Amino acid sequence: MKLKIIVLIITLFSFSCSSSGYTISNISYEDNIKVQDSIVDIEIELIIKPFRNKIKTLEKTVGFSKESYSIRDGKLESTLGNLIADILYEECNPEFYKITSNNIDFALFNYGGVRGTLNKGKITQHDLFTIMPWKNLATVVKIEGEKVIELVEYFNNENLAHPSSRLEIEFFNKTNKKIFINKKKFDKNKSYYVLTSNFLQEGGDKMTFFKDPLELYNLKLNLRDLLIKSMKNKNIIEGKLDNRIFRSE
Amino acid sequence: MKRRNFLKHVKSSTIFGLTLPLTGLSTYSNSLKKITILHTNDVHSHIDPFPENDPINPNSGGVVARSNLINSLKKENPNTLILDAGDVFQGTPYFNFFEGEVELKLMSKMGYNASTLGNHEFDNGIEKLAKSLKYANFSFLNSNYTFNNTALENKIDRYKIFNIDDVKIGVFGLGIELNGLVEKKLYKGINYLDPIEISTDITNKLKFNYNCDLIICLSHLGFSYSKDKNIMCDLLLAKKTRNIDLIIGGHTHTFLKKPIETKNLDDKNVLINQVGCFGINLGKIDFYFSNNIIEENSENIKV
Repeated sequence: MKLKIIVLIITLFSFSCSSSGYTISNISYEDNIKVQDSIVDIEIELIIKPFRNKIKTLEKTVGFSKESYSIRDGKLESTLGNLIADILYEECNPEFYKITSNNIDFALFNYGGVRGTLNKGKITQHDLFTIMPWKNLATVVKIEGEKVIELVEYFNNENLAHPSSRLEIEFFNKTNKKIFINKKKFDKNKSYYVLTSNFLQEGGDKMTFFKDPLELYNLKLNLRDLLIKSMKNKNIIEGKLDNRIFRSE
Repeated sequence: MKRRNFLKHVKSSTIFGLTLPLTGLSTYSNSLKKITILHTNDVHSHIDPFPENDPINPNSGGVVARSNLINSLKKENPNTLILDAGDVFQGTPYFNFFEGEVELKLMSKMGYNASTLGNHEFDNGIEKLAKSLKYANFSFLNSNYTFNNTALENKIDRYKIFNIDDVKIGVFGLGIELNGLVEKKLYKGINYLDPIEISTDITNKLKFNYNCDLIICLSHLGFSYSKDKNIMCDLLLAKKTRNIDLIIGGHTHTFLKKPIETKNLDDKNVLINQVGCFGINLGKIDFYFSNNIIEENSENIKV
């Protein structure tokens, strides 16, 4: 009992003397520091080594890249985004045809889903894990023409190089645009089959137009595995900007 | 030579009418306590440095280089706190294969004191995240998610108070709205609460109940969003709250050259810093503290 009272008094005292703490009198900082040196830290190396050895198998070459490609080298398209979206379309369309006897009309993925760069020279599985680390699966949705218009508006508002394939948009100004899908003029009364990922289909990255589709197919194929498979077959990989999505204003 | 910035913290409502002492900064500095904050964000499993053929960041980053840097800075000032603002996970095969073990073991070894939950911490779901936490000997802090009846219940602290050289430092964490960023099934059971309301409550508690001398927010809300200024972000958080001294941010991978200074609801200074991503940069901020009693005895000048 006595102890409790003492504790209480001490607590009250320390509360009433809040001024006996410390006050910030100066703050100093420099530019954020670049992390870059090569001195070996043995203890850290010892922790990493067993893990690094286990992922060494990923260092196998799967193909060659003609140049270095990035997701940031264009405005509404990019070399890396174009080559990835084209590969994924080419890999998934035959699979989809097998199930439905229909062709996929176009493909759309998200800018944030492609990380890093594809460097010139040999491409390893490790590189592809870095570019596409996700567990995302190829998914096809059938959506109405109205939803495609929402998708185009999304492109317009986001102003990012979201990877796409077989979709061509020319924005003349804020309201006028020309849309082609798989080389045919877009028809808002038609429905379209769109290839995307399960993440985006569920509304990821605010792509709400994929959320309640007319039809939904999960192809159960990991997007990164599809890239690896295609690169092994192609051997030399090339990416280009071709004005598939652009502003002419 | 890098320019050194000295930000004088002008106290507009000083306790007992105290003001800054007249004595010159150099002699004055001797009586000051120096606390160094080192920080990272969005390291995204980048354990190894970038290769030498990387077109943007050749030979940069990597845990070995970061550990060396931290060790040498800690030697300069042992009174150092090492913090991270989330998205520790996802980005290299180290995460795909080992599900967080490597990142958390290494951060523990480097002496990290706390981190917060980024959206990518949920990429393998709540259960796997909860399991991976056994490799961390530091806390993950979050105060605006609810974890009731999930595997993370009682595993995440809302805030933590560090006592370094007698200075009390309150650190709390804020996470981004997961809807639209993470598949629903991966964060099932977690609810997002308004960062401003939560910060107001927590900082009141840290400042007035626990008498913290410094309040730091580890935020994964993002620095700011150009497409819509009203989206919750660090700039808004700073502006609409009181009592936060420093926001260490993440999510938007913003490479700030150095911390920016902004004002809070009381027109007091708030620092915000974010060091991009992938462990390429490290942030370092030094706080100098004076003892309120010493100040009382010193000669004063009105600022």
